[in-house]
Amino acid sequence: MAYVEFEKVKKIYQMGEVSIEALKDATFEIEKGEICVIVGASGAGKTTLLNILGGMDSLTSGRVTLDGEEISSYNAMQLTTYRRYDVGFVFQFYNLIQNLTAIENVELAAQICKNPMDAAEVIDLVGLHDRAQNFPAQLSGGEQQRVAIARALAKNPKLMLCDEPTGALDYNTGKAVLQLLQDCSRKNGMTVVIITHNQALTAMADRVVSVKSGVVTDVRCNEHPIPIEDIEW
Amino acid sequence: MNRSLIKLTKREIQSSLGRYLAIFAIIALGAGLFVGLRLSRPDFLETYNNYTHDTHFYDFRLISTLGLTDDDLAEVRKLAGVKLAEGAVGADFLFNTDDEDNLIMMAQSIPESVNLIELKAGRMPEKANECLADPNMYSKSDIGSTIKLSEDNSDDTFDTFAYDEYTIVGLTDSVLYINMERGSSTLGNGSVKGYIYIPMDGFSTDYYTDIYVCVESEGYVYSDEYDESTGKYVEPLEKLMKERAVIRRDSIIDDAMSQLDDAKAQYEQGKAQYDAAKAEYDSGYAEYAKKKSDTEAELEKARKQIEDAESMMGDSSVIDQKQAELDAAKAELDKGKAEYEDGLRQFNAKAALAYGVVDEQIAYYENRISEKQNDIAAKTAEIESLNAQLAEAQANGENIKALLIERKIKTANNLISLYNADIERYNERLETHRQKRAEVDAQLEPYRRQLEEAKAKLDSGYAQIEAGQAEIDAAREMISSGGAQIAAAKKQYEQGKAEAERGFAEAEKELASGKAQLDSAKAELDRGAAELNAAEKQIKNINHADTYVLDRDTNAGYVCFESDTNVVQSVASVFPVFFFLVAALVCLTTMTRMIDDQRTQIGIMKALGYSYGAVMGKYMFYSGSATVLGCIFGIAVGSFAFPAVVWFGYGLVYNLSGLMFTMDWPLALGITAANLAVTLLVTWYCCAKELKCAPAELIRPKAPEAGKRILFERIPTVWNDMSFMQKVSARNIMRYKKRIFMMLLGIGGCTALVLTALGLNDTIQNVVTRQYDDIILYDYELTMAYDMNEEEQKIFFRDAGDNVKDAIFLYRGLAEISGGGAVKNATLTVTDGKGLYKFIDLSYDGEPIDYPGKNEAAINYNLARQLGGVDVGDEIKITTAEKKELTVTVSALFDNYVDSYVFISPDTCQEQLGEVPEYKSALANAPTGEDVNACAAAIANDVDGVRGVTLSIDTKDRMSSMMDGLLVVVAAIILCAGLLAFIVLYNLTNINISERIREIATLKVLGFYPKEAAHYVFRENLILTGAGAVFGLGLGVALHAFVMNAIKVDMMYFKPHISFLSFAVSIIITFVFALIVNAIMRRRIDNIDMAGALKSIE
Repeated sequence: MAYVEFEKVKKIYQMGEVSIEALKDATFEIEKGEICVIVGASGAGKTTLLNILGGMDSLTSGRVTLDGEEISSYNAMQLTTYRRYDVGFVFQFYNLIQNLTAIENVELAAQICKNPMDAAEVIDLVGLHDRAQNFPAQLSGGEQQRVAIARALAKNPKLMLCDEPTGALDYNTGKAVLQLLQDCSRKNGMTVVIITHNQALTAMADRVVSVKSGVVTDVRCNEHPIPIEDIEW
Repeated sequence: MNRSLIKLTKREIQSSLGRYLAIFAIIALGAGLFVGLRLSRPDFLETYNNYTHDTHFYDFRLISTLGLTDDDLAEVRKLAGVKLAEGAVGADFLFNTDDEDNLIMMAQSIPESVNLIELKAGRMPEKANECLADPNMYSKSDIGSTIKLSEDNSDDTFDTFAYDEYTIVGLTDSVLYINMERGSSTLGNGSVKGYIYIPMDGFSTDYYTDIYVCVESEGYVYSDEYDESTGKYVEPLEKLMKERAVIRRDSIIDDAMSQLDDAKAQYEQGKAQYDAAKAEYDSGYAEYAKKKSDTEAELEKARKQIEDAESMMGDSSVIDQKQAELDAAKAELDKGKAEYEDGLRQFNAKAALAYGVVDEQIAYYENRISEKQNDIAAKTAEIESLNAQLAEAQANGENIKALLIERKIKTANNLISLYNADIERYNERLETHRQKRAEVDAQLEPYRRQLEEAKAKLDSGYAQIEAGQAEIDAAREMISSGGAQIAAAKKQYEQGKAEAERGFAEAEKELASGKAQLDSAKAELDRGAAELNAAEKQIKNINHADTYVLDRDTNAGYVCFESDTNVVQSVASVFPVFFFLVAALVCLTTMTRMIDDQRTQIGIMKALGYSYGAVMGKYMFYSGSATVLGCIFGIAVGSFAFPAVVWFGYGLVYNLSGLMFTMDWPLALGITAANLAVTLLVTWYCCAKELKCAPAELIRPKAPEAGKRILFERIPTVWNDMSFMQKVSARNIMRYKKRIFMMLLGIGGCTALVLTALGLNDTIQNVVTRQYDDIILYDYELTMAYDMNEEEQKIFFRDAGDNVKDAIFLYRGLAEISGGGAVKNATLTVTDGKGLYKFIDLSYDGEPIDYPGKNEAAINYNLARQLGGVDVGDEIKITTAEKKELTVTVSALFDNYVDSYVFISPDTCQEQLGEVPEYKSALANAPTGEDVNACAAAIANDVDGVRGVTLSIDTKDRMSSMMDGLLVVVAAIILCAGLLAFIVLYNLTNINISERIREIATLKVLGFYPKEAAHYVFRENLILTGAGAVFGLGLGVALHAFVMNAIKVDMMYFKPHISFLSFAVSIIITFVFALIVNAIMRRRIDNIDMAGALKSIE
């Protein structure tokens, strides 16, 4: 059994009288320790996919399992617990708590976990040793995203979900962030799911899931993923 | 504004309805409270004004101590400007209820034109013994029951009323008694319980006690205009009353005198009747006595006869013996008679011998004398004829013949002289012989007397014998006719006796009753005489009538209503200002937040080329429309709701119904304009700041407020001990200075308002409890009829007995106090202060003061304040009720809450006035555990010289009920303050959450449980609420002091006082609201769409 399984996942948003089918029978799998890139155009339904996987949204029908647990059957409370212990998020706009320093943002996440990593170590890991005591406003975008990654990592999650992590970053910074994510996966055996509209990034993935208009059009595995520094876009 | 802008604005309002409503609500509340409270007094006055107008409430009440008549009334009506005048009778009496005895009821005559009554239930009285009752005492179910004059009423009271009992046929309000105050009485314990209205015929007085007058007046009740327009009638009315008083006195004295004369005549008549009756009685009595003794004698005789007869009948030998005795006596008598006859014969012989010679001689000379007298007569006749002859002869001139005749006459005269000499001689001899005969008589006299005596003895002896014989004969006859006659005689005797006795008894009875009647008549006459004397004395003592022209200010209800509504006014003028400020503050926060939120949108609009004004217009419209709608709604609701609520409170105290609503348009428009100005200004301020920025800058998201280290972190000992979340909260709190300020001010303001309102309640409650529990310690105040010197005091204590534990006697009177440029009225008390502490606690801030010495005075703090800040050491002037002036130095101030008091020592009066005023008042305590009411009634009824008793507890109750009305105002304010606090908290929390929605979403994504996420926000909220509340307490104390200072009620001092409980409650209320708001907001946090919130950039 695969680590992550999506089985005929359907998601319908009811907007008043209009119902929008965001996902139509999405089915795919992700193995443990893989870097999975979900790629598709804006509005293809990739964020919906991620939200469902991350326990931030419910599905209309179908089945989602992680490590044998059927998260699609969780209630709100179980989902919260699931997010708390099993998932780490990285967002396009970092979503750091502005009033906490870099290391404090990491601590914030770490202190609610069962088996967190040491906040300082994680900060070192993402290369922000010198900026640990700075507030988000004092950091550059890339640095902020590193803090966000550190925050996700510190929880020691089963799954790391990244929604357009480079969307707000310039080319080089974006690359560095992706490198960090790749390193995390490789060094710690972390399962990382990255959402992007950038086809170029699929090269770095172990597995690529293509989404179009709510339908999973293609799932393929890269036998030889290319290191980030070698990817150009 | 073009269509899309309008659409945008409309949608903006729809999408942020909560925020819009918050502005709307807070403005509505502020404006509503402001206008509503401001309108309360005008509404009340309008209502009262209408009521007084409709019922023709009097402008003047005329009173004379001698009563008023129809003539007086007619004169009053003649005065220019008098619209209505009506005579009325008012009298109080004691009555009993099921629970209590000897309560006091005030009876009023049913008016026809002035002080009209309004029937509330039942019907108007049709008979003179029916009445309308006080709805405060009686309910509809009491209609048909009776109110009976208690037996303890004085004769005077019974005389005043035509009946002893009146049947309730209806209930009525009275414009004379609009509040609980029913006035005081000289009866019973002095406090009037209620009133009844009875027809004029229900009274048996022949005069009016009052004349109520309505004059041409202008203006509202209590207005200066009213006072001015009615003031000019005082003088003419007073003048008229003085004139009428003289007339009235004369007529009363005349009436009384003629009545007295009548009475006197009647008395005299009665007296004469009595005298006649008395004489009749006396003669009757004498007759009776005589008849009685006669009859008794007769009866006795009859009884004796019968007795004799009976005894004789019993033994016939007795009769025989008696006959023999009688015969023997007769024989003896016969012998005596013979002897007597013999003696008589001898005496006659002897007398014949002795008288024989003498009598012969006497007869001889008597013959001689008569012979000679005959001769003289013959000669005299001869002379007469000779004289005639002589006259004839002389006439004829026959001188010779005349001479002859003269000679013959001479001779005849000579002869007569000779005869007379003979007669003389014979008489001498006759005398001698008569003497001889007298000698014989004397010699014979003893013998004759002996004989006569013997004869008399014989005669009586024979008569006795005859009577004895008759007796014996009667007895014999009786015997012969047998016992029948005796029996008949006896029966007759018995009958006669019984009859006589019956007659006597009857006569005696009659006499006795006559006597009794006479006695009672006499007693009545004596009493009548005494009464006449007393009446005469009384008439002599009829004083000149004291007349009073009283205006409405002497009506308790009228005065209380003004002061009570003034309190509302005071509260209304200070309080809502703070609501207004808080409302402005909330508006500022909300609009600031809104414009911050819409920074990007503003930028886009500007970038699209919308003008400065158009962009601003949207926000101006948003806030402006909320404000205007809020004002309209608030004023519309508030101007009805608040007066109605306060009115409800006063309705517990005042018997006025049907509140009239007024609208003060300038005020309403003014408050709307002010609110609008403030909101628009605030909006403009917020907008202008943003609009100054270039569109490009606006479109870019505003750099998030940078996190900062706070001062705390520099104190490692504290900072390191804090938990991570505490650190986060601490830093968050300090993050937005503006928000802290808003929260502190908003929450603090609400806490302050609640605390002020509660403190107001405390202070008001405090007035009554402190005044009547701590300061006024005496149970009752007594008014005495005369100066209570030591002797009288002893008598008082003896009479009062167990109804008084202790008492102090002193002078009490109203006095004018001048000093510090002001003149105020106060109660002046003169006493040496010994033992006063048992009755009145004179203290300042809990420290007992020293009683003032000579030329010193102690005055209460509020009086000093009213006198413009007179302080210890200052001089004040006291003008007593008797218009005497004293100048004294203030030696101490003391705490007192109701009325003003001045205490001086008698030494001061002695020195400055040369005398100590009469101690005609007393303060007294009832024995512990006794019923104060019962003791007071007992004192009023049983102790001589007690004119009136005022119970402290009654005054306290009256004060409390007056305060209750005020408490409703306070309750309304507390409620509004609470509501305000709620809105402010809601708004601030709402803003807080909106600002941090991404943060919260992040936390949720990170897996914070809902509770933890909520705590993250609310911990700060509660900390700020706590800080705001503490800040608010400080603010509240200041605000309370300010409000209390602003509330000015005559004769009442509100010493700012906030109880510990109020502090606690205001904090608790603030927190309860905070928790309620948090609970509501908790749902909002739970419902935050994480994905949505995190996806977008603001």
